Amino acid sequence: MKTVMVKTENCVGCRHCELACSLEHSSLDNTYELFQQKPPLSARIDVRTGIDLLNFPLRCQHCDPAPCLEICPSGAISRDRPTETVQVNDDDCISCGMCAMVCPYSAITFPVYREKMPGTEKVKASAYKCDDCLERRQEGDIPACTEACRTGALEFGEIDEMVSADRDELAVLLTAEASGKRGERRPKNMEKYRELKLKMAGLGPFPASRKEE
Amino acid sequence: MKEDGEISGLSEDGLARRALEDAEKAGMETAWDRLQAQQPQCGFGETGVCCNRCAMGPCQADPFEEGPERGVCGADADLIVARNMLADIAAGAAAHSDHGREVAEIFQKAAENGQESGGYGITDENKLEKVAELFDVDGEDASREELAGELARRILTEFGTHRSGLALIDRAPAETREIWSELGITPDSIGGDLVEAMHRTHMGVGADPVNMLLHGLKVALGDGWGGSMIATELGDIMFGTPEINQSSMNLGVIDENMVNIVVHGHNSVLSEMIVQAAENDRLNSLAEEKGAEGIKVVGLCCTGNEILMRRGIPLAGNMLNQELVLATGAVEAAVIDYQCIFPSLVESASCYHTEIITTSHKSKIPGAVHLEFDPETAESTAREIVKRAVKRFPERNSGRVNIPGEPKSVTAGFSVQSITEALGGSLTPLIEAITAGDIKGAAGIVGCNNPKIKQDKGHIELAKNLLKEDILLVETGCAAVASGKEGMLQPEASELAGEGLRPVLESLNMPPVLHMGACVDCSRILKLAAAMARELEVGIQQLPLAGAAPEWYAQKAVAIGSYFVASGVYTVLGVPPKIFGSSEVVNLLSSGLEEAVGAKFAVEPEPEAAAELIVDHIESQREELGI
Repeated sequence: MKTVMVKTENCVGCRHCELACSLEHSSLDNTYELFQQKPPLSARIDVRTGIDLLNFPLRCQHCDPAPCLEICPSGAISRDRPTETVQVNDDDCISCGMCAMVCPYSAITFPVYREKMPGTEKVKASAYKCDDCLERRQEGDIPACTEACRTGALEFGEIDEMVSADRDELAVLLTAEASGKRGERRPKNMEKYRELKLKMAGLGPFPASRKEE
Repeated sequence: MKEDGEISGLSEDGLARRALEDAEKAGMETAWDRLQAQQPQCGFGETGVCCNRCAMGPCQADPFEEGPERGVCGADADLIVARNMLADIAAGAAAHSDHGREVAEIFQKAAENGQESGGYGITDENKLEKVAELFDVDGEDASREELAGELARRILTEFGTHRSGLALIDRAPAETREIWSELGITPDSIGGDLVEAMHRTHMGVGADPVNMLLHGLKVALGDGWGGSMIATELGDIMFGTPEINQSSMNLGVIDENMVNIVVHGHNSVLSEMIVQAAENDRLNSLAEEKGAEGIKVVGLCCTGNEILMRRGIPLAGNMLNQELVLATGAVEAAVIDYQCIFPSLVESASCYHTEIITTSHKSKIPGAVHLEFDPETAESTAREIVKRAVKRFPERNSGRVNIPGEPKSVTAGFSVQSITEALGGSLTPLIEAITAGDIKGAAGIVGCNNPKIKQDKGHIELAKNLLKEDILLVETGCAAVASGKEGMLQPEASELAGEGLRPVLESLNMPPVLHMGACVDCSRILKLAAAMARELEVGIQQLPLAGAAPEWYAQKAVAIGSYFVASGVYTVLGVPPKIFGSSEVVNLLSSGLEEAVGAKFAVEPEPEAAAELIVDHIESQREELGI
């Protein structure tokens, strides 16, 4: 199974993935024009800050079975078998919102600005979510968000292969500790940075795992 | 809408919390809302590895060392971080020094035009002579105005690009100056060193991170012992050297029955005139005609600190209070000069009748009324400003006036001169108390507010933890205001001090925290440190002394921290600086500098842990001095 793996501890919150997503799904080919576009084209991946100032890039995980697909009454949501991804057909979507309600990752929204209903002034809002960059996938490329990530917080590949690589890393880390050497997942300066961020989370207005008061 | 619990986590200042509730009701957006909306903030920027200087970029070096290690030009994380830090120091030093230069230009006009100089003159003649001597200006046969004019011309050359050195450097002890000279970081020109700094940050110039940062220290020293110190000294000569005074502080200084004018920013030259204009009889009768009891000028931020120091004018608060003071609904005009003024302030004021008046061509805000400050017309501009505020009074909606509490009384005005006078004419009693161990040492707590840390918490908790350990505190800027709002700038607060320090304070009737002024007045802390070092016949780096900036946000604070450390003062930062993407820069600042200048930086957000670092440092300094 191919998927995007998220390593939250590597996410620095730069939101390059969001920008790459908007650009990929726009007819424009540069960021300058993209920023001029009104209304703006929102990204289908959303980096949010959780506790201790740690970030998590939220996107559709293309579940199987997918709750959204199961519940969709109009058959607008389907699975693309070759890529094993969950796709929305805008024309069939009746904008009932059921998919958004059942999505375990809150990955589906209904932006109202997308297209005018033919013959009326009404603007149709259909289900809007990550399509895993279907065209890119069909050409054997990885999704735009993963390509844009500089820090390895988003990685695309066969899940078992990625887990296996993680196991290798973990084994080194654990044996390093057992042999009395200090195992390091990150460079020392970045370990210090993380430690300070944790303290800052405890002193500021953000949710933290520990607060002094 | 914020819930009760949320607001209580934003500020230690109880009046600020109440005002925040009112701001919320009025629909006013505050810095805390904007911080929330900015999450997540980019980690590349936060760790200093983002370079947006040229059009081959923007580039980021991956701080996790998994992605790209170099920008397009070939700069690695160490260089990008050092380049960004040098640029930050330069921006901060430029802010202080441009402020200092403006004071010097006004001083020159005051000297040249004598009584016709728009109300500016010489108040502290004694200081004029002392400073003239330091600048080697001979005034034996000269009139007071001639002496001042010659001094002004001499001072202004230091802002140019002649590399003739800075006169006030000679105030530093010889031991400290030797270190600078060996490292090649003795500043030679305020302007020249700054221009060189920006040159070095250009692609294809500086490529050695250590070499870049050494220049950063040089630029910073040119701020502390140059631009900032000039601003302080000339301000004292023109408006008077601060003397110990009584005043009040916090949002409660706004008076419901008066026309309230808030003066906000950093350069108090116009505010001095506004204070005088507010005493004008005709304007006060006009205020009465409009239904007010009179006119009240209150300060905010460092302009406020300066007029508190020199004139005892009440102070409404520090940086994060600037929006909240408007939420009292009782401010007729907020007059701003420059630095630390939120660009959104006009928007915030639009929730009320308050008029925002900008006064410097350097610092305009769309939607504000602009009345350009010119030294020659300052008196009439000040009167016009006060008149506008008075005329605004009937626009006030009394139903929306909400002054959140009573002001705290403060003792302020601690210049090196007034401290010396309070000690009976010399610093010897202070040195003796330190040598005897009643006072273990001193710490300068300085710097800003930053909404990433609960407002004032960093300042107050660090201060309380140090006082317990018999460490005397000298403070400036937002830190001093935090202490004032907490009641720590009054002699009664000496009960917070330990068994050694407390009796010393009580015998002198002094508060445990000495308010030494605005952030440019960190130069007063340097001067005090230098005087102590001379008395003990050692370098500053050997003193039982430390600096701290628990809630810093500004580039100016990067410059101040750098000149503290370069001058030999161990400095603890609360908010992590943007350097953690580079192990080389982290190592240099947190240990390498110790060998070079005898002091280093530490980063510790938690106030209690920061206090421990400072206490340990002071103990070890005492041990080395053998006291």
